[in-house]
Amino acid sequence: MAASMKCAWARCLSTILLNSTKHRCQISQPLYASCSNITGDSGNDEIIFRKAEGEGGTDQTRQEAGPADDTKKHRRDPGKAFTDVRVQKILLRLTGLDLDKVYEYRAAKGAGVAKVALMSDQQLKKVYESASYKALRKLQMPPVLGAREPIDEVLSEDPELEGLNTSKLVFIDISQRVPLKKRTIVVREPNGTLRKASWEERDVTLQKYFPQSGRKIGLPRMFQQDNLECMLDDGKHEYILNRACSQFEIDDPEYIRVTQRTYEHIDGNGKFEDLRSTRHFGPMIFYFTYYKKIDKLLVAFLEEESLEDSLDLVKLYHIVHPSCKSAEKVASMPDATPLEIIRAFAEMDATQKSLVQQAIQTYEKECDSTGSTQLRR
Amino acid sequence: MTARLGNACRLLRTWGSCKGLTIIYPQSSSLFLPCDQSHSCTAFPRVTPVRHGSQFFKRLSGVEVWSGQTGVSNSGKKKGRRPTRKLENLNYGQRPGDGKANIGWPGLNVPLHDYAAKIGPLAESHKLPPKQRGAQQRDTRKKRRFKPRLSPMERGWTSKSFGGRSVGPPDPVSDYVFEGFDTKILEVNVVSHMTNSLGRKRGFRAFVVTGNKQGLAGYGIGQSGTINNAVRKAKNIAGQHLMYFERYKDHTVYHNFHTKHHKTAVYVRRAPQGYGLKCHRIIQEICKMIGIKDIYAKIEGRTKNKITITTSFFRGLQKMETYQELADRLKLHVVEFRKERQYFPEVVASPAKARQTVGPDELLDFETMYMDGRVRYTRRSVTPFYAKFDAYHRKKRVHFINRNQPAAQLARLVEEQLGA
Repeated sequence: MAASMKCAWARCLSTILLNSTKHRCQISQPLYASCSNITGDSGNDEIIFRKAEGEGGTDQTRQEAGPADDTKKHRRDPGKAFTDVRVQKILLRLTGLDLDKVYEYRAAKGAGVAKVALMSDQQLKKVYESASYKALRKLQMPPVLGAREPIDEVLSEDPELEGLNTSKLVFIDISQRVPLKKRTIVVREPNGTLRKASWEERDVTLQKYFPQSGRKIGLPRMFQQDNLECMLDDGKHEYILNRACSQFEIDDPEYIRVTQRTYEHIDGNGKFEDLRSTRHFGPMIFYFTYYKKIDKLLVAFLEEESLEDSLDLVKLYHIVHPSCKSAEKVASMPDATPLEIIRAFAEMDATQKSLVQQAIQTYEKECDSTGSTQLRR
Repeated sequence: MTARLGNACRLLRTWGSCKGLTIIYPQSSSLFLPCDQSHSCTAFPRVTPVRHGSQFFKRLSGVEVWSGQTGVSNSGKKKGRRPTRKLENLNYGQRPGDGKANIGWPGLNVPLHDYAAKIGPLAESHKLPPKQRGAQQRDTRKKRRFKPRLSPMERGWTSKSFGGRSVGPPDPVSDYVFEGFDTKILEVNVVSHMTNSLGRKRGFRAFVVTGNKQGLAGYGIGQSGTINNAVRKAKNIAGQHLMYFERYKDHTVYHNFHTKHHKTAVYVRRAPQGYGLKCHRIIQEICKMIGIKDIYAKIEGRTKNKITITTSFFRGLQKMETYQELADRLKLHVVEFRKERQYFPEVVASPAKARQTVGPDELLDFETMYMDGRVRYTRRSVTPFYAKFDAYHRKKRVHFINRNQPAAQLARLVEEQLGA
């Protein structure tokens, strides 16, 4: 009874959050409070539910990074697309909420004996509810952004100070209650130039004066290319992504390199399910969608026989790339079935066309054998 | 006597000369002269007149003579007197026929079928190795009292005590073999009672616990005249009184409990894995036999009566409730919150039909519900005596400045090494 209650609650909760306006206010604030400094406005808590065009995205330092292999002139900041309401909804739905995976057993220091409580059905429901809300916080997705543009600003040239010091002097503002991103950090070169500190210098200095736990000064050996490959071959994708989140800023080129390499490795091995029900699943799906590499992913969903997920993925593709051929076609057929939409995508926009089409065929065969073409969860 | 003497003379003739041979004759004998004149001996045995006659030496056998030293009178036996000496074989280490001349006598120190051979001296190698003085005592002592040295794994709680020693599984009963069982001695006592004939009669009482480390265990008491028999009896009795105890995840008890039997109270607390058996050694041995690996137990009251400690502990275990039993009794879900699972509510037992609500006055604190209203006493933390001195605070301040330096230095060293 308890197990089924747990599943039911998780499903209930995700639909509540995705559909209701009442819960929107309750959830968006804690989930994305830390994102406030990304776009530079500290007061905007409704980031998750901004519209795609127009609002927000006022930060001029954001580099507009397009897809790696995009031949089009049109370039967008992946951050803008990521924070689209519709995109967020789909990503959340695809991630799922497997409470057993979110709360899986991890070694804890000083654990001691478990606390045991005796609960009635009502009390148990309440406790599951709060655990589910907590789980949603754990599934808060690290945003996918473009790489930060290098800082190159000279504040003053003082050639008369040349030769005074043999090394650089770094100055940091340590007054209270200043967001880390806004702290002034400047560098006096030996030749007398006073300039703003580069991103790398900023990271090192801030970690020195305002240390964040789990973060090392300098690049940890794990993220060096060879070591990273070793870790990936060992299958430690979640660990790498978690550590990258704690070590780097999300717009750090190193973070982007590490995460993208991890996603590519997962794609190569087809181990998408490792990240299901973790906070990295959404960003991974978004990466593949943004860079038009969703073929293997789609095939994996079809092999699992989850039509909903496959449809969601194609829909996501159409939102992120509204000008693609299949999007236009689907827009023209309002009563299309899920399979028809996926087939349209496979015909027009899939890079590995045959693979996807074969997967669709296999799925149809399985469906016919079980006698159901309905959407299945 | 005459015949003997005649033979001796004949022998002497054959030998030729044999110096230093002393023959003791009784004075009263008419054969004072060693031999008749019919033959001539180159050497005559020396004759030493002796005071006492042959009857003096013949009257009692060797053993009877010894009983004067080894025997204890009846009244002495009642009082527990022991002989002052032990019977000694004066010919220990000797072979009949051996002597200084090292001559081989068929049937004695040489095989009988060699009689045809010339009776003559033997090789040096035929001699028995000489026995050191006191060798007999040492050899007998070895046979009787020698106990092989116990290895550390075989020893009990101390090198000499029986407590803590393992004595193997109970003896098989018809077709049931106590597979996987082991028994530990908890106590061996010397007991006595008065009899009408012998007076005080001594015996041994053994108290053991047996178990298969999978939840089955039992304890037993046995008495006998010897320790081994007492232990054996106790072991078999324990094997006939086995009890089964459920363990939480095969390593600890399900909940804290308190029991009292006579004057011994036992407080038991469940413990996480790796905690160990932090309790009296008696309870440690019992837990090992049951298969409990982590527990805290405190004995209050009489801590010397091992039987009441054991009884108390076993009673508490018998009353213990598993999670499922608790859920069925109270009709509530039993939910665990663990740090390792970020305090996620994990339902470990559910009743067939759970209650919807809980009454406002219902006391459902799992930690204390089995303690009969007793609450654990925790001492107020005491500031150490040195906290009042200035030097201590000065030192603390200095230490605080470098508080992370050992770890940081190690990290830098590691980085250097890895970089190189």
